[in-house]
Amino acid sequence: MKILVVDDDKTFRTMVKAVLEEEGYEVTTAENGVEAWEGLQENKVDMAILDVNMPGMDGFQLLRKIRGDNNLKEMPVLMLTIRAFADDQVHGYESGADDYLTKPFANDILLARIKVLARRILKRNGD
Amino acid sequence: MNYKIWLSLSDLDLAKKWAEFFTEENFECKIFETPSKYIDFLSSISAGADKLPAFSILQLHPKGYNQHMILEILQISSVPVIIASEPSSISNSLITEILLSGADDYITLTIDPRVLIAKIRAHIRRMEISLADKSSAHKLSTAGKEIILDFDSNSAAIKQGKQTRNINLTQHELQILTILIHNEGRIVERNDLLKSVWREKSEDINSQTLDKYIEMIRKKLETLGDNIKTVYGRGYMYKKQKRGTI
Repeated sequence: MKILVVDDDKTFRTMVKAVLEEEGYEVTTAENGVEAWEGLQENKVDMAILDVNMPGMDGFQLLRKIRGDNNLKEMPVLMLTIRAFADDQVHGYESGADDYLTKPFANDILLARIKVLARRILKRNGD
Repeated sequence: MNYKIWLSLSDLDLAKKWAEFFTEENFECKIFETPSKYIDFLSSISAGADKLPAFSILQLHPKGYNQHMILEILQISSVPVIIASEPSSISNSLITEILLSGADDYITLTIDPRVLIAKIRAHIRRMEISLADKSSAHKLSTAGKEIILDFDSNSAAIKQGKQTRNINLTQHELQILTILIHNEGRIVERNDLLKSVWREKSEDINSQTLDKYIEMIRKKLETLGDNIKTVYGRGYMYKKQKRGTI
């Protein structure tokens, strides 16, 4: 399973990549929405983890582009943010996020939530 | 389509408040005072009826008193489950365990109901995507005939040319056939089949009973019944079908 991690914070990106790879996932990264979008045109991934606050194209803008694209619209997306306001979360889900995690988070919680999303993909393909 | 939300929270006042809010948002709500009442309810409804479109929100007791019951629910029921608890009353490792055991989400009871509804809608969106995928996955063709399993109406049909004929399958027969077809080309062990269909009652089911069910399904499928192979000493297999247009 291939996961795309998009975050402008290099330390954070590297950390999440390491955690996911340790668990056996294949990981690609991008540092902003524009780079992620270009990457997605070339290589499809099974799931994406998007930071909300990024310069240029932010996580919400990227999410809306993903949901509007025929090839990508069904891809599970998990949003990461330091903003925990209810309105932001409602907005995130309504824009098409499957799950929402507030930074900082425990690595095992991130992994568990990714596995919940992965389980749904597997269930679909298995049926 | 009206989705159902089945709530079991130890804080009944909160459950009522949420139920009221969900009802305003067009969900059909039902409150269970304890998880064991919810389990009773699950076993009282017929086997396919606990499928979509419903899901449940269950509260995990801060001291973990009902943990085994919740894990049991996760095992026996196909209804998506959101686990709730008092904030910071349970450890990250328990949250992780519950999510990995099959729960679809974890929330705290302090969640803003608007966020909860947004989350639930996100789950429904995801469920509907897999449901749409399913409808085509359950058609299987053999020699110009097609078996169609319809889980919304719990029925099966055989389609030949333009004609579609319903087959009357009992709940258990439909479940058995579904499992075999899902595992097309693979052996389904007798025990796994018993457990998936009869769940906790499977130990009371005589092995010959399963054979009788299989015999009945073969008969009802007529010529397609030959696709169900007996694998001696192990179980059954639905013969791998050639793909392609007919």
